[in-house]
Amino acid sequence: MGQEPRIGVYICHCGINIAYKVDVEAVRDYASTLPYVVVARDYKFMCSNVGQEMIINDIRNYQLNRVVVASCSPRMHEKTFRKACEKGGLNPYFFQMASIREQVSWVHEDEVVATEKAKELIRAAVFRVIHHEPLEKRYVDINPNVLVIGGGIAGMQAALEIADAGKLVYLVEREPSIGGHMAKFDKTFPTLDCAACIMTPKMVSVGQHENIKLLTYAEVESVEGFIGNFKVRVRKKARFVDENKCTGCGECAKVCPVSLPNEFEYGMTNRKAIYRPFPQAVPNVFTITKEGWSPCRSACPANLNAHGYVKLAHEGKFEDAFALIMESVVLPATLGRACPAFCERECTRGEVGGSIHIRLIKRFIADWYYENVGTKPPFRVDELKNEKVAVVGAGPAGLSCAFYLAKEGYKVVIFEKEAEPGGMVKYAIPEYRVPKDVLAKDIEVIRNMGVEIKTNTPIGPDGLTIDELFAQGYKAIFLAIGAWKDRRLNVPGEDLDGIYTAIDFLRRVNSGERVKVGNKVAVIGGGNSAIDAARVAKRLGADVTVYYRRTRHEMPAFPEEVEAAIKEGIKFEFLTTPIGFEGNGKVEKMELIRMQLGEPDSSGRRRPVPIEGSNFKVDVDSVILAIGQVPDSEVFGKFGIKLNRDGTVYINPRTLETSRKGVFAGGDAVTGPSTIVEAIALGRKAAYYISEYLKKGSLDDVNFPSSLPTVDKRRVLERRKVEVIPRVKIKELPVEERISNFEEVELPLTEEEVKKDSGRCLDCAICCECKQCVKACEAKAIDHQQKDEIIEIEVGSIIVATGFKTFDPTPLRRYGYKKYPEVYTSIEFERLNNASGPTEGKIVMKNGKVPESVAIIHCVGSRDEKYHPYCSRVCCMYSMKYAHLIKEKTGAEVYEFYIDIRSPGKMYEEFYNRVQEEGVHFIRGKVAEVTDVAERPEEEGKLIVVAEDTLTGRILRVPVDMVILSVALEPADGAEELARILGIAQDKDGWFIELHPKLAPVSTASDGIFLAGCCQGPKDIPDTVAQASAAAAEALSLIMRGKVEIESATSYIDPEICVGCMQCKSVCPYSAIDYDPSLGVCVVNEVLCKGCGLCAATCPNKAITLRHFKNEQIFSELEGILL
Amino acid sequence: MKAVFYPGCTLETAAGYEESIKAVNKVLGIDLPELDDWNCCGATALFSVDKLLSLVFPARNLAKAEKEEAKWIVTPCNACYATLRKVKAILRENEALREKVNKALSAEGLFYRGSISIKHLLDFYLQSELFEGIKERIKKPLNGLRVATYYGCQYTRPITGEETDDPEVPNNLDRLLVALGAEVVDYSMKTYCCGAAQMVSHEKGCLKLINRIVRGAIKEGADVIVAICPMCQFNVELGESKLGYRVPVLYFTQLIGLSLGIPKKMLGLEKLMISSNPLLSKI
Repeated sequence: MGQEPRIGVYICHCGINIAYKVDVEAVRDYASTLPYVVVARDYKFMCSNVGQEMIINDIRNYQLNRVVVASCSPRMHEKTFRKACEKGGLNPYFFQMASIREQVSWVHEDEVVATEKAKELIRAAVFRVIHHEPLEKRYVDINPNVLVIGGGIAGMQAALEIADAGKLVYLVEREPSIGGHMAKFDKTFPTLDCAACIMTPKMVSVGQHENIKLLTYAEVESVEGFIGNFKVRVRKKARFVDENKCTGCGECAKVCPVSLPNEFEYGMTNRKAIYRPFPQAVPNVFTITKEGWSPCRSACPANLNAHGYVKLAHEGKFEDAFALIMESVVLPATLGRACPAFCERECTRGEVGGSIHIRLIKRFIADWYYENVGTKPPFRVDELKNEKVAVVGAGPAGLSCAFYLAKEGYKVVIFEKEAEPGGMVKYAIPEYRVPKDVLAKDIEVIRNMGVEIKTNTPIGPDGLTIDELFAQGYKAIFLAIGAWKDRRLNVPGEDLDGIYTAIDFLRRVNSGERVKVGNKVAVIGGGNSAIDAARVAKRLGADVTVYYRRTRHEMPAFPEEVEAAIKEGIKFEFLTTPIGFEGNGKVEKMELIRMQLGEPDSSGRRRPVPIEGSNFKVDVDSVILAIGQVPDSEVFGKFGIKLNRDGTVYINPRTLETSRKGVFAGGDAVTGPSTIVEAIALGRKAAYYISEYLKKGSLDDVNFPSSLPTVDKRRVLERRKVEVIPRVKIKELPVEERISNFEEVELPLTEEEVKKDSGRCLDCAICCECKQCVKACEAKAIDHQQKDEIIEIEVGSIIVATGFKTFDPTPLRRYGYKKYPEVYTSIEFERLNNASGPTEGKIVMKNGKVPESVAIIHCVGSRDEKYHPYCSRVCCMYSMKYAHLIKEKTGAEVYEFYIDIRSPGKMYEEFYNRVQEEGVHFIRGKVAEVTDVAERPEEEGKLIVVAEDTLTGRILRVPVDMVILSVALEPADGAEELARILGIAQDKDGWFIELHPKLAPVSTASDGIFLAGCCQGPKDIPDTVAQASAAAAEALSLIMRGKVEIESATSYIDPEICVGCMQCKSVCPYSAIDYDPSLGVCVVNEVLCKGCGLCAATCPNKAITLRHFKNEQIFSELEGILL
Repeated sequence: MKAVFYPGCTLETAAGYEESIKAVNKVLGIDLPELDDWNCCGATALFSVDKLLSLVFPARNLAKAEKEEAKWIVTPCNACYATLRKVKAILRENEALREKVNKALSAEGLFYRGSISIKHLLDFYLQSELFEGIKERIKKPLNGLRVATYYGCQYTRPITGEETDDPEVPNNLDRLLVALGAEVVDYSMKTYCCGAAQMVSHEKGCLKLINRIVRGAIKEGADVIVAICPMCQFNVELGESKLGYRVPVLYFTQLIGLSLGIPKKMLGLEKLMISSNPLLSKI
């Protein structure tokens, strides 16, 4: 600069705002004594034309190169005075302002103190301005696209105005359709126009406009950037329906089995899981509400869609239910009898009456299918493939893998070493649990899918080897050899006759052998095999005792099985284990020792510890050892397949492939003894991976289709009131009838019981993926695999039009909302009036009768200290509208209980008069309570409104049939979240704050973001539309300007001092700092820098300066104050 | 937890309240000693007569209880309960008044610290241990007897911070009676005023209030109205008799006693104006 500073100081009186407390003349005189001050003046209104001219002239006449104005806050007039300097030919940054109004005259009482402080602030400003440097003005381009958030009348109006002007608008609406609250109304005041008639043309225009990109069922997730340059991330939620294909025919909703309260009708009617909010929806497509997976489905090891088949059973669609079951599991009739039903343990119904009989319903469906359709599989093979796959073992895992591979079209052969297929189900599970013929039918279905089962064909030392199988042309092999080798106790006498191992014993009995067990049988163990063995031995006529080394609490057997065993007279002895057997060739005595529980072992259960000297002996005829099984896998180890230490087959946990390429394994062979359903799950998973392996060769990028998150039970129970309905008791054969034979113990449910029980389902996930909709949709528009879509858009301005919600009057218990059926909120009553509402537009009570008298209570939640102190503006008018409609439709007596009538709009007062002339009773007084306790005969059966009539001073009791509560308007749900995302503010009631309540009602303090409609404060439709047009005009004005000025002060990094530590780069919120490796320093990108100063504060070396806030400028200012 | 019992002036003449409290406490093994040399709390009347006296009377009882090192003062009467609570709240906020009151109390060597908690007898029985004890000793469950629980207006209001229940829809007595085997009806008059002392000066107005209380119970098919305050019980019983209704009004402790198998004689049932025989035949 070089030039000596020549400063002009101007002190404003601001009328009397400054002058009444600050001695402006004294301050002026003081200012003229400050260094470099060439001229000092005072004037009444510096911001006026005259004041500004003064500055401009002085710059010329006195060759000023610095200007200080002491007046109001820089927020008010810094721009004004900078412009004046510019007009005078001075760079606007040679200007400094001292605030002597907001900081001095408005906050100090003492005039002497005020004047002194004013002098100090001006001195500080003068000292600072000496060091100012000129800066260039900066502009950014405005992106002409506009984002409108909210598709109600405000959003639609704004969008149409902007789109008609030729600019692109993104309209984001979180509901499946646009229309907002206005779509719920019937007639609107004061003209009584039908809301739908005036709005649907707009909705259609929005839907069809070439400049409006409509994103419904979508929400704004994040907004970055600044005016003219916003980057917005929108999440378009999955509706599971293709918007481009759906024709809105509604056939899907007809067959959907899931009903839930309709949100659009405020719960007064139900809708289906696949729905359209109202018939005139735009876009006119359906949406599926799917909240995840129901707990039953998540709990099942095979993720079988229990929710889906239970709903289909309720509809009587047993064939479809069977197909749905077989999509995930095989052996449905077996599972319906022997599965431990993990699903039922998680069923939400369990808390309100007992879980759904998911297992028994599956049994019914399978039995029904076999009886009415047969054993043909419910699937067709689309495309036969050439590859052959070998499965070793025809147990549940092997059968499952084979079935699902055959379904894909592969040729599958199962090699089974026993005489019959079925594995443990056939040979270990007793017939009183799963009868022979039931399993046979289950296996028939698998055969009919094209699977070949070669029985009496072992793989191993006595038969084929793995190499031989590959040589025979099998491209992949699945090992499902189960866990058949019983563990041993390794105690003396274990090899005596009459001592059996459980699996061996059960296999013999299941093969038809009548094993002679004698009279006293001891079963050792606490798992399912032990109980099975015990109950079988009982049926063979013995007196059975089960000995277990821990307590009942630690027994791994299913509790229901233990219960049944006890009922059948089987005895239990806990905390004891055998240490030896005695006998002459055949066992006669068993020696046991008592145990106590010590520290927990690896299974988490407390380890049993023998008690010294507690030995005792018992007489036995037979002993059955059921202490666990391991896979008989030794031979497979020789085939190059890695085994774990306990004998289970080692696999890659993701792909189920063994250590040998092309050989997979699953079931008990991998997990150790487990459940049928877990084996079936692994079989199907292996089939998936084998198929992918055969198609792609490598399994690196292959993943099993993922699951959806499990729905939280709390949410389900909070959705609506759930009645406790107990489940039907499971019927069993009486003990006397079953104890000597192997007849099936559990009796089935009847068809009626199945339908009744499945009706108790709570639809946890809402959509159950039964796929009936897919079947019904001719346009093939349904896609259950659809995922949320993230859409990134760039816009220059944003209009917020997110509307309101109505106040929930439940806490005001004295009005009886939700207690008495005939108390409605205004918006609910609006739906009763609407022709597409729950009563088709007729005003009727829930009992079907037409009301003869209606009370309308004003100010519910509004003008109320405890809830909302503000007036909601529209309630008086809509209350009177209801009075008119009620009179017109029913002729009933109408009583309006008001505090004040607010009817300020065009034609509003006339409407009020008209309603009064129609004979509506207006009673001025707040309602104390709505009660159903009658005191006089004419009050019987009615709701009595008790209120004070303040104009006559009397307490009234007015009996009516129906009560309408005119509830307050509140900010819409999610307003707080949206305010945070956009960076705009909410006032104390939650409405978004405008820039200035009188002069800037549609702008916000965040440049480029505008407001329209009720989100800024409650208002009626005319005002909403006006605001929407105003916001559109502001947005268009911005677009027309093309550019907008942004902050000139940017950062500068001195390369001499910078060491390249990059701390500044990591804190910059605008990513405006880059590291230059060639220089080893950081550099500021001036285009992106917003002048926030964070980098300058962060730099540990003080290498960064923020222009216009340099150290010497700030220190000089401080000096001026502290002098 | 040391607790003292503050009977209040009306307990002795209440229809079986005192007897039933004593009998129930005996069976449950509860030792609840009476506050030594207690005085009338002044209730609502004294507040209109002399402000300082209306604070000193109740404060004396609180100070005496504190002197006995009690943590709780337990009262069976709603008015005493409300008065004691109100005084505690007033003296907590207003230091000047507290000084004056303590000056008055010093004449007897008493000092009010404000540490004592005020409990209604109902809440005393609902302490978890005692409540469990009651449940364990039930010999004759109330067999689905339909009860209308009448809390009166001062159990949950005014709100001073020590209340234990919802001001408009309280549930404590309901819980207790359900545990005894009764069926609590959906009664909307739970906290409606009975008119209290106005019964003497404005009988006609009070009868209107009693009318809606009793009609509410009749509408829900209640066999008995259960009260937790001598004033409430007296007003409702006397009032309804004048109106021609015959719904028995019992004290909650009498119902506890009946469920514990205590003989009627020991529960003072014969003192009731409206005979309890119809409901006794139901259980």
